[in-house]
Amino acid sequence: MVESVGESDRSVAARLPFDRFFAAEYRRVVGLTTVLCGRPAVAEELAQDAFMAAFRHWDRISRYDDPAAWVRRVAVNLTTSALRRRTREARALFRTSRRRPSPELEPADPSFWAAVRALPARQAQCVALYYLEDRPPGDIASLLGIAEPTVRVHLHRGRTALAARLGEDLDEEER
Amino acid sequence: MTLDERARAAARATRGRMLAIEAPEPATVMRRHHRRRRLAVAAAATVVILAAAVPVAMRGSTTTKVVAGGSKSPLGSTTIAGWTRVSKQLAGLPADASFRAMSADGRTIMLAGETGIWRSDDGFHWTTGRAPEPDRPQRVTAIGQHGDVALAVGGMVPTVWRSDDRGRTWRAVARAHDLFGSPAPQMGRPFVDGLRWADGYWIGSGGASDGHAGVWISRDGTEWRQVLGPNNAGSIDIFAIGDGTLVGYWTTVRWTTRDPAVWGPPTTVSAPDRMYPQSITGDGRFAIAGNFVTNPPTPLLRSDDSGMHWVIDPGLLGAYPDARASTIARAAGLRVAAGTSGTPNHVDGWVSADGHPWTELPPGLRGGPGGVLSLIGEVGGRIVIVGTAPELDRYYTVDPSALAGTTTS
Repeated sequence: MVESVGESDRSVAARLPFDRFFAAEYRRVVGLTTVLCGRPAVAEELAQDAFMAAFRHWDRISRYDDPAAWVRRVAVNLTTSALRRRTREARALFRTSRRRPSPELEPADPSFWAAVRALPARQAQCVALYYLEDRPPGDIASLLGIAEPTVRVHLHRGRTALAARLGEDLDEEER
Repeated sequence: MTLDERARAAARATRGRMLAIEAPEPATVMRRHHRRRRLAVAAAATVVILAAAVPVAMRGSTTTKVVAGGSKSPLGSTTIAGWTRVSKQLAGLPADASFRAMSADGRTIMLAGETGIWRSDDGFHWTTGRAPEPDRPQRVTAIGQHGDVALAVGGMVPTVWRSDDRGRTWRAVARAHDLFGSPAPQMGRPFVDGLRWADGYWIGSGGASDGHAGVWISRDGTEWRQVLGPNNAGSIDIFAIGDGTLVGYWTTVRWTTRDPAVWGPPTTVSAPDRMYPQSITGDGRFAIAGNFVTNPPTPLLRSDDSGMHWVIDPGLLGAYPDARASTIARAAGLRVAAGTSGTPNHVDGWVSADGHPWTELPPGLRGGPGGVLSLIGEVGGRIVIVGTAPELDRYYTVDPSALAGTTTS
């Protein structure tokens, strides 16, 4: 009879590295879900769900080259699911999110981020990762699991739509 | 100010605000997470009951039941008329798991894919097959069972994993670039996407490096020998009919044998104009048609001679004209087709005793748009239907005994 490994066993083995990982990445992931979701309390919980997914598989994920990219991908997917599908579970999650968020969780220039959220989901993700996380298209492609040329197309279309919506000028190279 | 300047200013200021927030302790997050999930599931369950109760009361022909925790299916599962929708995550599967292969012998069902192998004895509760890190199964493309022994094939470098305890623990027993033949410069490396046990052999099936169909046999999984002779087919799937004959097929090409080590020359099956059987039930009686020239939906095919001659069976498309089934199998004594349907498409599945009538996955269980169901198995008398895509957060089971009297025509 083979016993399964309990979560407590895993947590003992992985506690310290996960704690460090959590402390280093938590704020940035919350920032990402906040600008993509638009509801700070929900965004914080989506980020926490992503970290809990990482924690459950930390013995494996901690060996990845870039666990931070993994948790961002999960966070982005959770956010997209919550916004796009509006499943019963997601609605319940929205309803049960009554905890008041930290005031710092409100992103700066909310109208800009609202315009980002109005973009198609992939464009919004690419734009958010490009600006908020200052990631190059190659990084974004790897993180989202799509081709780099596709990221460039999403960025171009996203920025063009944002410029039109916000009444801003595009940089020369974007025209 | 240009868009780029405004975006970078907004990002810089937002980053500054985020860095000022206080990160909670991980333990606090865990407590909140678990409490939130309990609340969310309970709230969702209530909504499901209310949402389903109205149409059920109006139709009076199906029943809806949310299975509570402590019963057989996981918390949050929803059952309508014998079909149950199960959350991958709540059943113990990674929510974003990508599956490639399934194996089921009635007692144990196994799912395998990009990041591992999972097993279940009831179709509702899954555990991860464990392996020492260097041997961890990944990118598994085929899995098969015989008694307590199971084999899986996959890996970046072709690898065979073996379990002697019904999938609880795994170890690599063979790994080599040329395990199934040397990669060819133009055709790539061989691929194995079918694995079964018959007549004392493990039999792998797929495509060889010469671009033709390949069948490999092994006594224990460590050494493999290619046994399918020269042919011009691209790949091969195998099923076994009742008298022990193995039947391999690819489009309209077919091989048969009673001895897994010796396969005869290919013969050509007859099928309606420009169609071919692309997925065949284990008894060779029904197939989902592929079509050389048009897109789906393509019809169901029926054969009375174990897959040598095929005719169109109007049962499935007659009842569900937009059905796009991609897989069909025999499970729990029923024929089970799975795939997608509708526009925009949604997951769909159908079961039937013998091709007419068919019972469809209840619309109330479909969930959000998108997705295709493609892996079918049986465990504990229950049918399990799973999709391969990581985006599909749910799978389905069917209790045949609860279907009685609810089929539609």
